[in-house]
Amino acid sequence: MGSGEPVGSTGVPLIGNTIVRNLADKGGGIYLATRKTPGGPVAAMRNCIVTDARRGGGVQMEPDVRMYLWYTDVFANAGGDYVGLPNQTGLNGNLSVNPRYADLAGGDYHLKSQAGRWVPGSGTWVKDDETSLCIDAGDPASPFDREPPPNGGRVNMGADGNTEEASKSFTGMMLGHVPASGQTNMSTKTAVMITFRWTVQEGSVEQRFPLTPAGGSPVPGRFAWGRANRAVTFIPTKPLQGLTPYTVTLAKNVQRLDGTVLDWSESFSFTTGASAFGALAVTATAGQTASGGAAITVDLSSAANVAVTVLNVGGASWPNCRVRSAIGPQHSALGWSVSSGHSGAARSLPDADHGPRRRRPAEPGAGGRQPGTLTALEPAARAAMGGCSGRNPARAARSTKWS
Amino acid sequence: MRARAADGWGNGGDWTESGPVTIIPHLDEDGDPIGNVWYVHQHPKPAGWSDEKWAEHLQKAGGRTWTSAFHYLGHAAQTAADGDAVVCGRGEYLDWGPGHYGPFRGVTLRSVASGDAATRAATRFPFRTLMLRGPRCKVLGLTVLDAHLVGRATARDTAGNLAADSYDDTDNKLAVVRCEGSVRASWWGSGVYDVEIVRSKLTSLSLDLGSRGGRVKTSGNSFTGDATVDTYTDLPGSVKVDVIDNATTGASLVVVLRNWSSDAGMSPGAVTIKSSTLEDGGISCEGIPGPASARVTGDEVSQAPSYGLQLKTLSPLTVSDNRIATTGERGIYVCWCGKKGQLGKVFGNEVRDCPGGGMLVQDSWADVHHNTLASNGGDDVAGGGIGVEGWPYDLVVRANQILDNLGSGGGGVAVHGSCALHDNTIRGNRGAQGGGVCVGNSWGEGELRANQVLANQAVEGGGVFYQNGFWSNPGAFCENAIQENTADRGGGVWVCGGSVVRNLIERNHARGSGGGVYVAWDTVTVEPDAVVANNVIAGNTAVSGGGVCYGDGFWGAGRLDGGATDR
Repeated sequence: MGSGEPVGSTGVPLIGNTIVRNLADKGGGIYLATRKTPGGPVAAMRNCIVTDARRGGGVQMEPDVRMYLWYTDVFANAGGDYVGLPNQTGLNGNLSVNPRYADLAGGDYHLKSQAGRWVPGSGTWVKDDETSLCIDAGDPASPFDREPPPNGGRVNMGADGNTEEASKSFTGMMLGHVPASGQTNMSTKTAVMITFRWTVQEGSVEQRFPLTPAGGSPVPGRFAWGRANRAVTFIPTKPLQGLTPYTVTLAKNVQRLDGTVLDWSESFSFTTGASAFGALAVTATAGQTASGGAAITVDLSSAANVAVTVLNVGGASWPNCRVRSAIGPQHSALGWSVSSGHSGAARSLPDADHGPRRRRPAEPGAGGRQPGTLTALEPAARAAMGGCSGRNPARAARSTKWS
Repeated sequence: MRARAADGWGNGGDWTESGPVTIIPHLDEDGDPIGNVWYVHQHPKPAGWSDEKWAEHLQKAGGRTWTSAFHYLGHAAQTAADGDAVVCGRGEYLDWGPGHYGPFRGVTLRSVASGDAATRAATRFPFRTLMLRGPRCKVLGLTVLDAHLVGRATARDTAGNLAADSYDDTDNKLAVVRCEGSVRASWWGSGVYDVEIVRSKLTSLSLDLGSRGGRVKTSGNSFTGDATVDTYTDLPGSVKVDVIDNATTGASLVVVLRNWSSDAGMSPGAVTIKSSTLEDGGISCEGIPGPASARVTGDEVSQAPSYGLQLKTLSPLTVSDNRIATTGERGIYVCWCGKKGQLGKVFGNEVRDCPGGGMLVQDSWADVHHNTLASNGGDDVAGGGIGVEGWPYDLVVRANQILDNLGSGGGGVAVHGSCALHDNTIRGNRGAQGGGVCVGNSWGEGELRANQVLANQAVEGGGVFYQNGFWSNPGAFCENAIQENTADRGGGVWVCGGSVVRNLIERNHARGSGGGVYVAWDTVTVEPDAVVANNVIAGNTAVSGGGVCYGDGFWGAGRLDGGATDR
């Protein structure tokens, strides 16, 4: 494996192919054979999707072969995604996510998109209820000009990347929101904050904003506007029900300040925890950082002003652990565990030892990060984690469900 | 019209088979005399006489066996004047001794019953040179060994070898109607000609016509020997040859239009070969050096030892709706045809079971479309269905059915040069390299687009063997559906040095490596920035590299044995 451009390569590179449901004893998706010619070239692959091999793995190569792999999704291949080479997920833009084909069984490998997907043979576009993470996930340096708008300014992975049939980039009206989609254990006292892509008319939003518990009626509350009509916070007048799924909906016909009517609706859901404090959920994923430490995500979104200390088994602090939001000492007794085999205990420390108490401002265009997220990952690696807690917030926004 | 009193036997008497020569007026449609009819008759050999005795008798008699005043046909013919007819009774006529008979100007020489085959067969002239000259010379209902018809002559219901030679500058005309035997004409001069060969059964036809131009029409004939029309002219477009509704057995139709002008681009004329049926022979048509206009349509050719249709230096060219089968060489061979902006049109033809290959298009500007090429080719044929060679020509091969052919390189199609190959159905073909399509060492501009390449077999590249040498347009191999093909390496595609873009490569199988695509990496990449890009490579199987395998290049051409696969 190499990370740079191949030098002297004469193997024709694979760019933007969808390689799916193939089968072999070795290399169900792709196999790089031993060179018979000394000093032979290398292979290179970029912007491809390699999934669902029925046998033999996704990518397999012999030891004397070199291969360069960029911005490629390798996922769900029987026999392993990578055989004979290290897992490339998270490196050089490579992913391992479900590409969300239009119809895997039926052989339609166009990527699902809430903004529009080409339907072969019909000459039409349809909108899906979800958006593939492979859209706009190709090499930023690759051309994308043939993709129909909105194309996100970045090429899609797979066979339709930079073609007229490329699935469209989803640009919903919600640039970001808190809670995040699918978030659990939310405080029953949580508010809902939405950042819009455009400036919007307040009334058109407030009239189309139900926060509804499963099987219940919309929750009453008030709206607080900010950021020049690009952000709104909905504050319920009374605590939400515990352990209950809630759905936030922005119904169609929200209007932008310039008068444009947004003729679609968007929604997302979250679930409350047992109390106003929610619950602490701690997960750790091994092997995700270059420094060798474990990445830990602590979901503290419902617990403000809490401090945490992370210890390994030997008692020393993880050196690359940074606290983004602290919890107070009154919650340290809740206890937590690390899923990667480590164990530890949270203990209260003076606030000064663990960074500022304030929330980190939302990143421009990212829709705000999840409050209380604790991570040790660098941005590139975080993005590479895809659907995990460290994924790119912009990607998370794309998984917002439409109706 | 002159009337000739030829003898003392009187005029107007009835002629009987054993009687003397009789002169009767020859009347036109209005009943007016337009000439005389001279009867000559030879007594038959007495019954019981042997051939030797009869010959001895004839020799002693000095040939004077005639009961008529005309002991020799030649005397009668010489006596006859322009417009007269000499009617010959049944019998074996004597030679008039050395020398020529004739020329007899404007004389009609016919048997007593010109339309009767039995009479014609029984009225035989062994003359080596029977010359008839003049605008109304006719030979009707006779059997002649050699008859030279000079000037404007007609042979009708006549059997024998008919020749017409002229080397002066007069205009010539020859009509051969319902004759049997051979016809040969050699005319060289500054006149024009008009030749019509119709409804005859000929052992051969040879027309060698060099003049200011003219017209040749052969229709409704059958040939057991080659029929050749070879013309020369120095006037553009001055020759018109129509070969229509002829049938041959063991013979070919050959038309060559030559231009002896200094203008090499000058068209010598036009040829139409239409609705002819050839068995054991083919059709050849050529312009030299300038391109002749040609239309070859509706012919049926089978079992030709060489090409079914061989077409060279023709433009404009239309080759349509021909049925070609079991030829030794290519069913259709198109070479040096068409020109820029004037593509030769080859469409609607059906070529089957030709072991030399279905079609070869070489160095031509042509649009080859909607043909069916099925079950052609052999182990050593490049392009069992169709082979394409040449540069830098505008050559389009589109919307053809290329089925079940066999070739060494390119079971269905082999491309070595410039070619736009699109929207074809290429199915069930077999080849060592490229069961469906072999693109190798090509140059100029090419395109392999939107073809359905289905269920083909090969050693390398079951669907497509693509070694792009020099096509100057990148991404030329695109948007094809390459499905269910089988090979040792590269069930769908074997590629080296060229781009493979936006194809559906699906359900192919490699007995070895590269079920979908085999990318050879140890040979020189010629196309700059070649990529395998934007393809759907799905559902393919192999021992190694179900979707894609990178591996070494040429393993040797190999051979494809048998039709079954282990899929």
